[in-house]
Amino acid sequence: MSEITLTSSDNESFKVEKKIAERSILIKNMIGDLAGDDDDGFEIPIPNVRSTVLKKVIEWATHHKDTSFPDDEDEDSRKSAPVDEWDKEFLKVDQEMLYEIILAANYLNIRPLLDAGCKVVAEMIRGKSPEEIRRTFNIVNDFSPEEEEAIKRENEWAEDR
Amino acid sequence: MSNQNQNPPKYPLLEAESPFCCKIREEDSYILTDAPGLKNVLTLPSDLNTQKKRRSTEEPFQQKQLNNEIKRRLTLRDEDIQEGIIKEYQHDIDDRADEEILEVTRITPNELLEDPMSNIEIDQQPQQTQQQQQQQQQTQTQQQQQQPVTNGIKEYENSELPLPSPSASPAQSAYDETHLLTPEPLLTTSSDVVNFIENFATTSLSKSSVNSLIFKLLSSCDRSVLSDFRNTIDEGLKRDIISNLPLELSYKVMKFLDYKSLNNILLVSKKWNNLITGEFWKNLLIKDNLITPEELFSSNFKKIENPSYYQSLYIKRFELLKNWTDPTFEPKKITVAGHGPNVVTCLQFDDEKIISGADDHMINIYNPDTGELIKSLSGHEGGVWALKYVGNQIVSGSTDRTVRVWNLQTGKCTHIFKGHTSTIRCMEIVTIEETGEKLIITGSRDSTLHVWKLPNEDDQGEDFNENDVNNPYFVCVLRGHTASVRAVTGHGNLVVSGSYDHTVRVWDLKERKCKFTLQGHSDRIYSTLLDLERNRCISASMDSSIKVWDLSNGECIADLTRHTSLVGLLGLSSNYLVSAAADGTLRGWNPTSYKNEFTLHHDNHAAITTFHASPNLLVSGSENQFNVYDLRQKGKLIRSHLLPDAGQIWSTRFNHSKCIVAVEKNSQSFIEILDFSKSA
Repeated sequence: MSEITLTSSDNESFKVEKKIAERSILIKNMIGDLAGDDDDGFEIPIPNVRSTVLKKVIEWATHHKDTSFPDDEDEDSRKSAPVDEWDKEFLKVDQEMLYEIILAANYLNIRPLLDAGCKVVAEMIRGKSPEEIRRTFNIVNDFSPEEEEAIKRENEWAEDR
Repeated sequence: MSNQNQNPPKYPLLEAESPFCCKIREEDSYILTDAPGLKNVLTLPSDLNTQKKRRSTEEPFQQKQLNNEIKRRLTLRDEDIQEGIIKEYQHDIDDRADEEILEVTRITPNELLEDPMSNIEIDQQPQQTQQQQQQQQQTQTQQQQQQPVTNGIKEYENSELPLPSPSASPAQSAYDETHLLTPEPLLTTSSDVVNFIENFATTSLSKSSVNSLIFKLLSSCDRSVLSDFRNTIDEGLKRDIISNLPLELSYKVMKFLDYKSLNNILLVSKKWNNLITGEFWKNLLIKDNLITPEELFSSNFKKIENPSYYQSLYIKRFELLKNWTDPTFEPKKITVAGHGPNVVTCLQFDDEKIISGADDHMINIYNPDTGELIKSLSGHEGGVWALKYVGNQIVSGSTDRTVRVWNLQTGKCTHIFKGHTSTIRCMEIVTIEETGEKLIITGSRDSTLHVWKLPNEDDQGEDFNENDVNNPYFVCVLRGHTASVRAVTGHGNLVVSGSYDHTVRVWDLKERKCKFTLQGHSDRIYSTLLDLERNRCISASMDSSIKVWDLSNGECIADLTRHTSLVGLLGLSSNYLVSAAADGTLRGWNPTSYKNEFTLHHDNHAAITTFHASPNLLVSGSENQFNVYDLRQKGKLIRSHLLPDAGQIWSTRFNHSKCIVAVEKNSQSFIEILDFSKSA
């Protein structure tokens, strides 16, 4: 078996090299559990992911088909590693797409993509003032001025001296 | 917004979430790109033709219904304009906005042509009307064949008709099929046409047809208009990712952030504020090495659930570390008399006590907060050269060849173990995991190691006679070394000893035998260290080298030869293996690759006599010099003048808030307590 077919929520089918599809641990396990050895054209429905997002995810997996990622267990090194430059460019998408890619990576169990997506969101927060964060994510400030003052007072310790 | 909620569009092509927030749904994911390439990028849904066919069969009924609607609405509209009762439909908007809106209403269709965005803004944000007018004036010159969408939308919404809400979908030209459905004379203004098309599209067309309609309209736009749309759509696609993601994923994002970002997150909104829990601060405490996992998961903290407790703990520890690393901060210093003119050989402390052992045969216990001498334990008949404490028990080894066990509370010696035939020079206490039993291992100049059971804490030794030949606490002797045993370290059943016979031996306490004899050094071993994480042990020798050994096979896997004199001290913190030598330098090594990461020189080149390292800090002492380095910055020197009047620095230990130093000043020994939680 060299190729499998992935079908998106909106019924679009993608023929994908098995090695690429197996970047997803979910799919890898499914293939392991269900497919026979010469089961060419094995089809897997991905009911939680729409075609445009699935296409993006496949693009990512294709680029990274030969990449070796740090050990899943080594949380420290995964945490401290910066986002890969290619991934950074790849994830320069609108927020809806970014959100859906993160959800898809989580659902499909693609840890490096999930890490990269979450890091990109973290980068959108890092170094920004609360107001800048609100603008970035279109959030309404629902604190009263008094509440805001109280939190600010608690936060004073972190100010640079 | 409320109108939109009450009357959700039947085909929610663009689902509004806030005045500016809309998201493209499912298959309608056409990408807006540069106009020239647009037609290549966008593809029409394949079922468009079937949609058309299907619609034609529904036409008779729909057409009739729609015609009635249109008639009714147009009548309404005429009256509104004539009598100025538009206000009735604008009751939720303030007066000023009403005036502006009326003004807009009076602009002729031609003047209104150019503002495809007005429909999304006008009913939600009346204050933007001014902007729209400006925009209209600017765009009027562009002479585009576009259809305006006016505030007429508002009227539709407020009528009782189950009509769709305004969407961000632009309408630019009359849809070519409208003539089939409506008698043209009824649509008197272009805004009516637009409103009708919008209404028709959202109530009567299939999703894919609506998409293809939008696609066609977009395809006819020029670049600048597409650019405007793009900005609006990008704005609209913003979403509160953190609140919308499943909780565990939001946490995952936040785990990549530092305390400053977390503090800003607390201020973003109530939802965001609620996401920052005690777990977060715990996580950050460990990540920033402000607490060890062992300390955090110890019984002291286990019971505390309150998240703000961990935030304040973080703050406290953070402030403390800042005090350490700020050279202008002067810690409060307490100096107390030590052991007269005698060398202080052992120093250990925690929040409740400082314990020092010295060549004057004494063990002193001090209060770390006040410096007060709480107890002096006397009994040894020679200098105390090895000391450790566990819980309420102190174990000491001396030149008098005995091991003594003391009760910390009462200050009484409970047990004396005899057996060694020469000075006890080093000691380790290990816990056997299977049984929970604690064992004492002592190394002596008699070239043996003795293993003893640590008596129970409540055993006061009443029944114990030290001269009895059958000591019930004696376990075994580890024989093999052929010269003085100078260093011993252990964990569980594993013991590593270093000797003046140039070898390191690895012992298994369960089997009571030597597993490996590690040969390679060409002179006396002065220090040994276990690296359990990597299953290695490390030895430092008078031959100026440090060797790293694999505990699984006893092979030497690294030979570090950068020091130029006796290497007497080894330490392991999270990022570095640290060594100190008689050549007056401290070296930091990568604990995995053993690359030499930094070298720190004491000014006077005097042999380094003591150091202690945490993941963040390194403190070292030699004659007349006491330095504090920042290990987060590859050992950057922070302070060198904390103890300006000290002569020899014998021993130092520190925790997050205090640094204890045993020093010699004018031939007398002193214990210095530096408290970084208090300013001098």
